Amino acid sequence: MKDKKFFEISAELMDRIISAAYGDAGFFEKMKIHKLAGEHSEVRELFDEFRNTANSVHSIKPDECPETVINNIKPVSKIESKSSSFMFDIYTAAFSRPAISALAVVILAAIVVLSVSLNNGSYNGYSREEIEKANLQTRQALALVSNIFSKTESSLKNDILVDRVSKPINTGMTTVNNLFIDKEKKNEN
Amino acid sequence: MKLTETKYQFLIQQYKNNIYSYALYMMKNRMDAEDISQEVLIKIWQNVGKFNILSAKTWIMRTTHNLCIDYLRKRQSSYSKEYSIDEEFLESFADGLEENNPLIKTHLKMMTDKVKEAIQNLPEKLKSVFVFYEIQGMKYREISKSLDVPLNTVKVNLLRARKKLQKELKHYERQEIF
Repeated sequence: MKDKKFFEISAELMDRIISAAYGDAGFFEKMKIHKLAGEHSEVRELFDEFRNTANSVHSIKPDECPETVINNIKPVSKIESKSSSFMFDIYTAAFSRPAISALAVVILAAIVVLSVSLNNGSYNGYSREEIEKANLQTRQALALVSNIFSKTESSLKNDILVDRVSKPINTGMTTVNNLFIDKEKKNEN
Repeated sequence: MKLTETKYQFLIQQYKNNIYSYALYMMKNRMDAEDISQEVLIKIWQNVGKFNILSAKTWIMRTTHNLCIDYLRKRQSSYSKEYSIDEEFLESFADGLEENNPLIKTHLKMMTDKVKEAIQNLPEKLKSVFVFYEIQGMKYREISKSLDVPLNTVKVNLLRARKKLQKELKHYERQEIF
């Protein structure tokens, strides 16, 4: 009596049975329906009916397109129906299973990133500390060279140009000036 | 070889059977299915540069569906069912393999034909969703885009189609018994 009341199969339960029979339902939902089917013959019967139909439907493969159809469009498209070119193979490999291709690319990228990050600690066989030390020494050497250049510049400006170049030129110019002045005085007399 | 040609060849190889098969279910005869397939393949060639390869399937199946609807409207009720001899089926009897046992094979063939006929007899809206999902293995979202209907409509129509198909097959069984 209890069973009969329960198994006026509701529309909602029927939909769930159909989904399970066609393999759409999730794992737990399938388990629930299987459990119900085991307990109640009405559910079992309905489930089996739909599952048999689903199996028959799923065994049907898409009909093959006749070659005549492909041959008939050759004059329009002006290309062969079949190809074995390298480009075609690449295209097929990449796009017939885009998810797999994407996964392969992601794995490849991950390998590259991983190998780069693993090698990051020692570059060309040198440790990070050695590289930092070398960097410091280079900076110190450059600072020394810079210091020498600035000293040279200041001595060139202050000492060499003033004492060794400007003064002799000034003296020479004064001598020449005096000579001109003397000559002018003589001419006036 | 140009990239466009490669793309076109790839699309043909990938979808020619889907196009033809869908057209055959919708039109119920090979002549119309071949004409539609041809038209779709030409349309693909004309538009091959315009669509993304990843969304090509939706575009192709929508074009096929629309052409089928156009043909059905033109043909209206002048539908003639085609009975043809399946040469491949007859040839398979020639080799003596157990799996090609005529009795088993005939039974399986009859079963498949019965299911195919029941699918063909489904109402158009239910049939298109059913064929896309169950025969062509398309996803709900792809079907929704191809038929330009909401996702829920696809789900509801698929369920209705399954129920209707079950009813049709029961009807056949009863006819066989009597």
